[in-house]
Amino acid sequence: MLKEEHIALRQFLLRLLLLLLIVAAVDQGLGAYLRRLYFSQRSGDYFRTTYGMDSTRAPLLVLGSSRASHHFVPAVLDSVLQMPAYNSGRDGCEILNNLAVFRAATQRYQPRLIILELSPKELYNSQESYDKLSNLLPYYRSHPEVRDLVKLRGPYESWKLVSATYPFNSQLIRLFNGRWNLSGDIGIRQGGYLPLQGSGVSGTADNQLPDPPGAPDANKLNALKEMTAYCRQRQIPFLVVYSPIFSNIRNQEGSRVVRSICAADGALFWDYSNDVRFDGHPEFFRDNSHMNDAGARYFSAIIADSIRSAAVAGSQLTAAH
Amino acid sequence: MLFNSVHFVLFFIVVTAAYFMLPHRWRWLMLLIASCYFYMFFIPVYILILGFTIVVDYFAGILLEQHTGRKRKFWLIASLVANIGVLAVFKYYNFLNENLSALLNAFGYRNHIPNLGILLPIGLSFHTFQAMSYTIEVYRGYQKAERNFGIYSLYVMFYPQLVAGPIERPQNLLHQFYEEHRFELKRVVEGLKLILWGFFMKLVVADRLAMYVNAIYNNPGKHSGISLMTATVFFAFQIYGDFAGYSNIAIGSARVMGFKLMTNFNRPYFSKSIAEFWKRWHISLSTWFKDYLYISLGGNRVGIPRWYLNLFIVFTISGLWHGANWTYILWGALNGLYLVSALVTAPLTQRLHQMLGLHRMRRLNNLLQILITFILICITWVFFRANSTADAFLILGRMFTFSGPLFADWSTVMLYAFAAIAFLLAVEAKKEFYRGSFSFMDHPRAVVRYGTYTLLIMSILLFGVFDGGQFIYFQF
Repeated sequence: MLKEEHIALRQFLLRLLLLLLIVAAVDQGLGAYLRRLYFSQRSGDYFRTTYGMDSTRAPLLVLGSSRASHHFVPAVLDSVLQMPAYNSGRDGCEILNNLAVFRAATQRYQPRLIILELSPKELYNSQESYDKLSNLLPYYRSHPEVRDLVKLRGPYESWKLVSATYPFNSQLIRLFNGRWNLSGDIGIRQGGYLPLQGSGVSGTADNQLPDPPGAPDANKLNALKEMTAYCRQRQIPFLVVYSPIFSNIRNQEGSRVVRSICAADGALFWDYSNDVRFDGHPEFFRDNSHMNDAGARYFSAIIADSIRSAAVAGSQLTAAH
Repeated sequence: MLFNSVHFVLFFIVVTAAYFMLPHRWRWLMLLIASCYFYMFFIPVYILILGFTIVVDYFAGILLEQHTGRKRKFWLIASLVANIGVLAVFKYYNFLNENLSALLNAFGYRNHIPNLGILLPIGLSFHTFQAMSYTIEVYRGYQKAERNFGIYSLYVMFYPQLVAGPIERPQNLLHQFYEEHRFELKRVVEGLKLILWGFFMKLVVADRLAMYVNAIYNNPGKHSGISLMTATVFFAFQIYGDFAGYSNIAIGSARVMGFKLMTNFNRPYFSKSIAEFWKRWHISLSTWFKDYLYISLGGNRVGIPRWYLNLFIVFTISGLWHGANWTYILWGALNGLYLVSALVTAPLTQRLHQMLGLHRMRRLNNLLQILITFILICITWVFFRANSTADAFLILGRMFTFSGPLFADWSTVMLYAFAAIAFLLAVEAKKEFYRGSFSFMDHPRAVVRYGTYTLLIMSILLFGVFDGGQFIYFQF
């Protein structure tokens, strides 16, 4: 390199360093503000997840995705089982996200019953499941138990998390909304349950849901195994549920795998996906995957009755009845 | 390797540092090795295809120079056949075979020729066209044959523009590999600014809009006219953000090392006619088709009907270049039809302008022309984005019914999308209409410049989509 090049290089590196310092300062400052905003939410998805991880002590904990949040009515479960429930289901958050809530919650207290709602295709590999682990980014610093799950997003995730702003990527509007409840969300007052209204399907379910190609995803199977094993060890009754769906399920292999994992640790697997009480009843469904409020209340009453009858929740639960 | 990945950021830093640290005589070799690594990051074995065309065109170039007359023509044809042959096998074989099957089925016959179970090599059309431009230029005598096999390989494989252009010409690029580029602060900063803006266009604009566009275009039958229309306008900005973003990163990456690649986009959505749009959109491809196909067909130095036919042929083939699907062919044909229609109706349009007095209201006239051009281009994008021709016609049919509600998730997509489009348009409008005015990135005051860089970086961190897919044009 020539002398002029050395001078230019030194100038460049100094300017780059200055820019990096400015960006780092703004990033850390803004990130700190967003963190405070995130953990002071009063409504919305972020609040419900944080509440499930950090605050709830409900004896009945429901985990799952949107199908959980729209299908399990804590008030109905409580009235039948005499056991307060918290529904931590969240749109798009599948089993890997559920495991994070499971770990954080069971670290703090021991629920008397845990229900995990699974979608029939959920255990199969999909990039979206890993993308959705972005929902755990805000917890990376404060919750060590989620770090290995966050790292499943990619090999450079921990590098990216040097930025304090990155965990709140694409969340700004929802953060303001959740802090001041601009959309009038009432989920937390209903124990996390989010009712859907109306019916958007008709006739009978004609769409087929076969097994997706390939084997179930190993990380997701391990997540399920971790939950069943932990519950067995702590003697927490654990129930895996396929709730009703407005599709013809041909999910033999997926169901078999779930059933065998549950059986190995004494957990129960109840499959309502093709239940005759919901098949051919479009009035219970908002869309192909989700029940409406009427369907959710009917289903919650059915499953609560089944839990009570089967006394799956063990001695403590049976003692309540 | 995707530009929007941590891998690329690391790769770029290492390669650029190595470039300036190495003595000039070794730089081309380092760049060639780096470019091979870059390409092999996708599907390693496909480098053999690239190797095949490089060897063929390298020797064809030398043989072209050594011969005259019919032999010279023979070597040109041999090179073109080899290049187009590779494209035909890897890109068009299955498409042609499926269409043959459909044709035979219509007459009650069966096609027993099997499809090929192969993936399309990334950026095949780009590097094939760049290689072809070399042999054509040597044939025409505008470029000397390159004797250094390594340098010629680097011309085809130069990593910034290897997989999605700009499609370079040998006269512009080859000599730059021989020139010693020093570390110049101004040029390095210029390149980095282009890269930063490219990332903004890709991550904040294109990938955000893609979320809405994909949701609508993957289920067009379930969405209302207004949603389909919104998705189409979003796609216009998505593809622009995606491809112009890529080009900016490519040009910027090369610029940092001292290479000057050709401009690929020049604020196309401010075009006042379709003809102008094609002078501002994907310039390296438009000029390629103009230089090597349109002019070879006779251009406009023929009778009027033949001239119109030439235009139509060039645009239809340009559609086919984009992909082996009828949607792309229709997209290209529609653009050709627009151009021919504009030429045919030019006297009528002028008279209409005068009748309405639009020629006296220059600004209003310009605005109207920009809007009409944008709407016409949006209609063509329906074919480009739709998953099938049936979907494209379904979308066009439903789009103008204006029935049903707007599908919108305001908190995660729509507000960000509108903000991103507004910001992009504001920046482009400033460059287009107020060229000499206040410049944020080039402002003499450091505080304004650094503030702008920080704002862009923070916008990417806060609003960029980090789980987005690859660049749309990689598939071509």
